[in-house]
Amino acid sequence: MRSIVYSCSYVPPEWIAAHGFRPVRLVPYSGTECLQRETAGICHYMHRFLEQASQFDAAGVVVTTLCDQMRRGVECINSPSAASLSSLFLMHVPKTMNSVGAVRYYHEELKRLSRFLINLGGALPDEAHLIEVMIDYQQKRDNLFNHRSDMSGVAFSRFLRSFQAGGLLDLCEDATKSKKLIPVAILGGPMSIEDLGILDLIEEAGGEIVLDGTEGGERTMPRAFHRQRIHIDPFMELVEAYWSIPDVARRPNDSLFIWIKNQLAQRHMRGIILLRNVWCDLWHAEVMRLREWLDIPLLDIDLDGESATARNRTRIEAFMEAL
Amino acid sequence: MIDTPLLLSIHDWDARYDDLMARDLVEAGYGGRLSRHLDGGDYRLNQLLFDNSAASLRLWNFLLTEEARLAAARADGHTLVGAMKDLGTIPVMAYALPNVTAFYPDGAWWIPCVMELSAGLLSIADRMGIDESFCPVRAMLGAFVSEAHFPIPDLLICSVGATCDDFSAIAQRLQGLGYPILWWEAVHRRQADKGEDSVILPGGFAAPVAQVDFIQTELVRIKQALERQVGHLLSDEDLLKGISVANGVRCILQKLRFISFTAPMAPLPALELLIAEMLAIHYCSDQAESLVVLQDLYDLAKSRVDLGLGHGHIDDARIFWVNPVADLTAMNLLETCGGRICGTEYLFSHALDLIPEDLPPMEALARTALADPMIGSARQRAERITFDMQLFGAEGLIISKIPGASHCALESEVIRENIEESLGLPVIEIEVPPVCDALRSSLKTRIEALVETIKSRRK
Ligand code: SF4
Ligand code: SF4
Repeated sequence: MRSIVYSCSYVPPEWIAAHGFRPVRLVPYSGTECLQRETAGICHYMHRFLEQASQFDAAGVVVTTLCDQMRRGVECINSPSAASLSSLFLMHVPKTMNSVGAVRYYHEELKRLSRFLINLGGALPDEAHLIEVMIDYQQKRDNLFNHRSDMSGVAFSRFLRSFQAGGLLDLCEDATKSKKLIPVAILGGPMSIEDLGILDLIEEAGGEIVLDGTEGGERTMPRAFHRQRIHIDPFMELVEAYWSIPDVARRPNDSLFIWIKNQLAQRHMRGIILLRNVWCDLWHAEVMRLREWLDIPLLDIDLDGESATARNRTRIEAFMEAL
Repeated sequence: MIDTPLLLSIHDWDARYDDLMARDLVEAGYGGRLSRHLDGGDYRLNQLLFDNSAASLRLWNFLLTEEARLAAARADGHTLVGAMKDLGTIPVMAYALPNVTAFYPDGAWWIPCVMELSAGLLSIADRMGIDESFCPVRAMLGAFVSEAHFPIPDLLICSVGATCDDFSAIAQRLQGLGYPILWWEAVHRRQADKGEDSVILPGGFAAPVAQVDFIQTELVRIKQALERQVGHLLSDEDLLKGISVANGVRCILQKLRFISFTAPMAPLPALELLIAEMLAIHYCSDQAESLVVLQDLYDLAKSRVDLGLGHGHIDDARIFWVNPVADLTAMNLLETCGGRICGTEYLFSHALDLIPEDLPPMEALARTALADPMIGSARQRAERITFDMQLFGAEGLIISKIPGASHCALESEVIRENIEESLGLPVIEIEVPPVCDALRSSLKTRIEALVETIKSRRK
């Protein structure tokens, strides 16, 4: 089965799978720099994602405009093959929340994505097939979440990413759960494979990740599909489930703060570790606001895709100690 | 009588002002000596060189009295609308309503420069967690918090979507501080898919009809919010009139740009032309007066051209400038180095193009909003720059990168490559911070090198 690589939580993998492709949410590693641009001011995650997506043996790449750097970065892919550029789909995901038109636009963009997939040789799914794929994904997600309490927070975060990578990545080494750890949440943007080392560091320092609010973590999973509505209009149900994902880029981004508040009430964490990529304005701008708003301590860690683990070991240890 | 064009310091302007007054200069209500603005803290004026005409005096006085105009508008009971980010579209709608004054809080961009950081706006932004990794528009945050530079608008409207993350993040921070914002979606302008209808937008870009329709629904939402705020319905007829007035400003600015960029000698300096362009976005909070100010400038430019007068020399390097500078002194530097402006793209070319008057007005505005060079691809922006460089006969390009602006890191290379490949013209990239004194000599060296390259290629 041919793969479609995608970058963003607002691209429903069910939609890609229903067209006959394997959806792969790529977790990039730190590799050679192939974008021919300077790197100051550029988010390394965007850089690495696009670089590796353009080299991936995929039928197509789907990138969204939710992050302006991603939107602009696609123009800078120094692709060795023109084919990989022609099979790139830039999907506009509206940021505006309180606009009926914006939801409709998202709906139309998913239809446009469908036409793109059909052009690549995919098949337009009929409703029954779409329902089947949606239920299958829902079950897999349920399955993962049902086993959450059996595994460590680090393992869960890694499982989630492996699942979104279409099983192509085996990021899970040890799923055993340690005891007597300090409950913390992680929040923030996406992580490269090297950045995931930070999660181990948190655990080594005595933390248990009880909530993964980073991009690619549980925050960015769609809500459960409604059992009746999925049979009445599966596409609309898909649209609504994904549209409701809370994200830092939405305007206003109140739903993100509401989500955090609800999770704080449920999971009883003692601190939050914010993981944000260097040059990511969207998360950077929220650091102070989060500090002002939260009544538990927040540790702000910047990720550069390479040295984050080494650079932040002492800070994480000190933070855990203080908790 | 037309005097020889000269560049004057603000102190030289005092004598020039006396001279003009002795010759019965009639000023607008906001007129007066330029040096009086120093008392208000606009210390950067000490470092600038100004054109010596009465028209330029009026332009500067108009610009530097905007705060007072906004305060007066509030006192007169006007509804104050703060439009953010879209640069040029929302004020057209707002000014079509009675007793509305619209302005761009984004204009705080220049306060750190004009006040040489004395206003402390960047420090306030730092304290809010918006540090120098963001673009200078972060000064806007400081201006809101300090409430010292403009009255807090009655309605804040901000476009988001395919806009820079810097602005979107800063505006969200503002909302988080308790300033409610009405957001609207500016979609990424894309090419029409196969079989999809498209239209040509003002300025020449094309976009799918579906995108125009979407923007139109978003603008209708904004229009309704404005109507609710003002308590007055905006009819198509009134909006058409508003568009016609906006086009009056755009039209005179187009003429001013064309004559200034194509004349054998520059009738106006780069700095005054930059300020003139800004008027097309927000009219310095007085639409009718901005038209008069621009008309004055155009008349001056025309007279100077007719008389063979201008700044600099006939062989000055003809340079196209991309992106506004955070420090206005950088524009003076161009002339100091033997260059002159022959075309600009300051991020808002859509605010200079005429709004179609033969379409339903909301559709016309939607097309205009969608023509924003920053919501499409960098390649499209580069193509427009290429076209304009040819139109104005530019011989080289300066891409002035904006510190902290992430789009600059990604698009400058695309623009540079496009110009080098399609026109074979020299390009330099510079970065200008809000106060660039420390970089002045290196900026000068780079601009001089470009000027030399241009001149040597003529032989
Ligand atoms: S981390 Fe931020 S800048 Fe980087 S890709 Fe994600 S949203 Fe964009
Ligand atoms: S200068 Fe650039 S980064 Fe700053 S607000 Fe304008 S478009 Fe955004």
